Amino acid sequence: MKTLKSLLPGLLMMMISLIVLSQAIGMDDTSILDPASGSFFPAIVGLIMFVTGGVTFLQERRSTPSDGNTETEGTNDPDVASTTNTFDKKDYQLVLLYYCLVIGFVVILPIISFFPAAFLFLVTSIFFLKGVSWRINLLVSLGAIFVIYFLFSELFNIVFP
Amino acid sequence: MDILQQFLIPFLDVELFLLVAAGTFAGIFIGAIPGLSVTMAVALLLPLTYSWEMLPALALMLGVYFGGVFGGSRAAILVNIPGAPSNVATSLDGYPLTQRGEARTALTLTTIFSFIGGLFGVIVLATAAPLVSTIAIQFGQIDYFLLAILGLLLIGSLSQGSVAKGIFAAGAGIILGLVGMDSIGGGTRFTFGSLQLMNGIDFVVAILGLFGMAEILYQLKTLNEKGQTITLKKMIVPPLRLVFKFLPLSLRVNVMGVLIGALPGAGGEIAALLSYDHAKRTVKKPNRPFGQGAYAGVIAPEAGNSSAIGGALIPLLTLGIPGDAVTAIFIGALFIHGLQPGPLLMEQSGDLFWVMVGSSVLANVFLLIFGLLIVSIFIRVVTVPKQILLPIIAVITVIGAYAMNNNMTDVYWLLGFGLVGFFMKVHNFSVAPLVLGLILGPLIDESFRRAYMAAQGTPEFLMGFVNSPISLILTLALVFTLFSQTTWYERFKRKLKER
Amino acid sequence: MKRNFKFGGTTLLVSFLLLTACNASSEEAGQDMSDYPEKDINGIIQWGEGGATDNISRTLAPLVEDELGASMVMQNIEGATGATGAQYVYDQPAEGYDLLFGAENPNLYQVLGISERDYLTDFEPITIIGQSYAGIVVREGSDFETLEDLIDYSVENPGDITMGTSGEGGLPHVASAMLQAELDTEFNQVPYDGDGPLATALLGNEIDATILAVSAAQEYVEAGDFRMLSVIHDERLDSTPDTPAITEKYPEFEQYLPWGPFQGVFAHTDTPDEIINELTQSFENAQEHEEFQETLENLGVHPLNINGEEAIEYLEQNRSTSSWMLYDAGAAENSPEEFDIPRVDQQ
Repeated sequence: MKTLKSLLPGLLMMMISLIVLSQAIGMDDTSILDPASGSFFPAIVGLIMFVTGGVTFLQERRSTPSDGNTETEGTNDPDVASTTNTFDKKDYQLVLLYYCLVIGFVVILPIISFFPAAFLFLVTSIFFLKGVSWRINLLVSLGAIFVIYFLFSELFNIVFP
Repeated sequence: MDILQQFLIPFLDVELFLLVAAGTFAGIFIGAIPGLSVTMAVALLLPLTYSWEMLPALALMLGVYFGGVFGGSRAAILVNIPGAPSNVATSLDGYPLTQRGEARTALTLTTIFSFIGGLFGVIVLATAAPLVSTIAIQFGQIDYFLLAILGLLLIGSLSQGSVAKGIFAAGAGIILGLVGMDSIGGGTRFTFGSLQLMNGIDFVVAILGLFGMAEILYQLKTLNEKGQTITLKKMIVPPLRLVFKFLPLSLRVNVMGVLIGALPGAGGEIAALLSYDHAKRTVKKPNRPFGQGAYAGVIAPEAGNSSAIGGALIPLLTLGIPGDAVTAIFIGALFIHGLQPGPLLMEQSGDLFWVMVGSSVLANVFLLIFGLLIVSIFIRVVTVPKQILLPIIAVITVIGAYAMNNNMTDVYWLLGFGLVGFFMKVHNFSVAPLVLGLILGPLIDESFRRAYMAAQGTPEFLMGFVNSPISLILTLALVFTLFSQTTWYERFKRKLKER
Repeated sequence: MKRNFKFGGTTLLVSFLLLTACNASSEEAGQDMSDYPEKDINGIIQWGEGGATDNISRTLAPLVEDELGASMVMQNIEGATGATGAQYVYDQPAEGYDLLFGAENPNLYQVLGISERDYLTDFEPITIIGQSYAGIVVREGSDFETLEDLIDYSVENPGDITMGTSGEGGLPHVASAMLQAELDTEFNQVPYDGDGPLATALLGNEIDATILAVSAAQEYVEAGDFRMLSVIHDERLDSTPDTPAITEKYPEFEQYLPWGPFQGVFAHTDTPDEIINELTQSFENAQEHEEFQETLENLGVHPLNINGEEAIEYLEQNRSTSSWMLYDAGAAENSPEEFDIPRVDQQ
């Protein structure tokens, strides 16, 4: 089971490159062998992507399965390294829920217009992330919305959906 | 002494003086807000300035231009959202610095080097504009191709962990950059028959998603574990010492920035990327590894993109050709005010040239003053509790993505890129190569095909790599860079040392 | 639809109350045409910031605001040679609150297979602001002294001359098709991103010839960088009296002229007539301002300020010329016949 998981990135990479390649080959009105046509360069890129996928696949297969995650030679930041790459189920749940919240915001944005949508989103998500009192929550949400609205709409004439 | 007089106009005229100040100040904030671009701001000023005199209009627009390009780095450093493509490289080391509590140092250093870079660009504009524009004109399609490939070699140094994954991410970025109408062949690519996709993917939206939205999701985890707040450190090293230390680097990068900025087909974003690459190759002992908060890693790209502004003004004023989207609007402004931007502009309205140079110098001075003063305000962003900061940034990225093209499709892309960026972060794929591909992909594709089409057949095309001095230099640089990444080079160097 | 009672102040009060009570109700009120315009009008510019269309639109907008008594909010929705912006305006309700500030490109969307939208079938012209002229240019040091040199050489050596274009359906592309259709020329076409890059490429000796808007090319001609061989028009232009018109040597082009890039303002075709009339009137008055005329002159645009039937005829002529030229040159994806576009000489 663990081996399959560590092999997954390589397989996924190869699959994506195959989609790219097939799209490049199937492109209308282009000839894949003519360097001036629109599909030549994408096809080369697709090919290179496929090779890197293959290399990754082989590398992961050779490396010991106990390695679990991908090779982590240089994580983003040693200072916070202890926390990186150790997303457990609970963290994923939080991320997923919050992401759904953002999606909800985007969906209702064109329906109920900017003010109510942004207000709703801000209040619920600040509440959802906990640790902030209701008074501050409402104040901050209102203030932020007014500033954003003023900047984008009044100054920059953006017509909100 | 006519020139000096004209040059001093913006300094002595109260109205111009204040307009440059106001423009720079507003520009810094506009640039710092994700989704509001300098191009948008300058375009909005265009009808406003219609009823104005010419010089006040230009003074205000120049102020916004310099301020805006600089402002983009604030968001890149503080919240890991590059305000514009030219600030992508800045966030690579700028944000780690913030996470280590050194935001103040990063903000101060970039302000100083943006000032130096901006000033350098203006000096070149004032003294060597005709020369630089002659070089820029000689830059052929094949040279753009070589330049973009040189930029692409950055993948090697950007991809933490596996190089194969880095190359893959860059490839995916290139393909994403090619989605939409093919400006050369006229057909559509990778659109899967959708009209929404015909427009292509705006790379600012991709940046907002991959950096901004992904960062928000990633940060949620730190909320679960208490005690992860960033403590602001005082500036540890006196900045003056650092300024002197990095002055040679910044000057080298400035030269590159001006030249790249002056190219009509390349701008600040490529200047910043190549500057970062240059810093990474030449700074032998960084204070800490690049990508983890190296000072040189924030200085180089900001110095590069600031000096590119002066560069971009060169073809505008000497040839009437815009170096980027903002200078294109300047051309419009000149037209509206009855001037003909073209090769004769300097001859016919030389006074305009020197007033613009003067305003640019003034804008840079204000940039330094405001930039340093505002550091303490900007830095508060870091101390805002995450529970409040993250939702607000989420709203801004969503609205910002929409505002780029007034298009909801871009917001869906933002969401998609956010998720992809999040998983890439978790699985140790660095997102920088992806963005690199997005930025450089279209340039590589177009310049390669144009060069091939203009050449009659493959042999002539291949000759193009060596038969002009510029192409030859770039080809050699490319070969050397490639060679220097092989083990042979290491062995070769060791042998040299032994002798 | 509601009838027009004269509520006077009451209407105002009611609509104000409605507006404050609920944002959505503004749509309902918008159907009462007598009050048009009663909210901001969105001006959609189908090309990017800094281009000719953008400059003209943004300078015209404030003048129209004065005439209409409503604010115009200008936005650029670019992409797919302007098709994205055109589609956007087409998708909005036909109430006159979304106007398309466009150039000549939508006339070719159908034959080039770019989009289904078309000025004549999907939009109502409010005004055609003006048109520009095209000139054939080479580098000053070039061997081609006259247009005939260029034409003869390209007929004898097909594909040898590199002609810079601005992509499919752009001015040089269509004009090259025109030359090919009538004179059997054959150029090696290399597409660039517009006038600026084209001028750069010509300066840098990357291409041998290109076709630019006369106003854009003129500066370089005066500076001694370019040589303009001919203007694509049936008489010499006042601004370039030394450059021969194309019909002087090749009278067969007469049937296609006048032809060139133009800018206009368009509304959805289903927009009620009263609103179209109101807009037409306002735009006509606004363009008569002297400062606007000056702006056009500065931009090298020949003012037209036509509307109604005249504008439709103008569009038909331009569409027929461009579509058939492209089709005859084998550069069109679809036949103009499919869309009932008549040939020019049949009109």
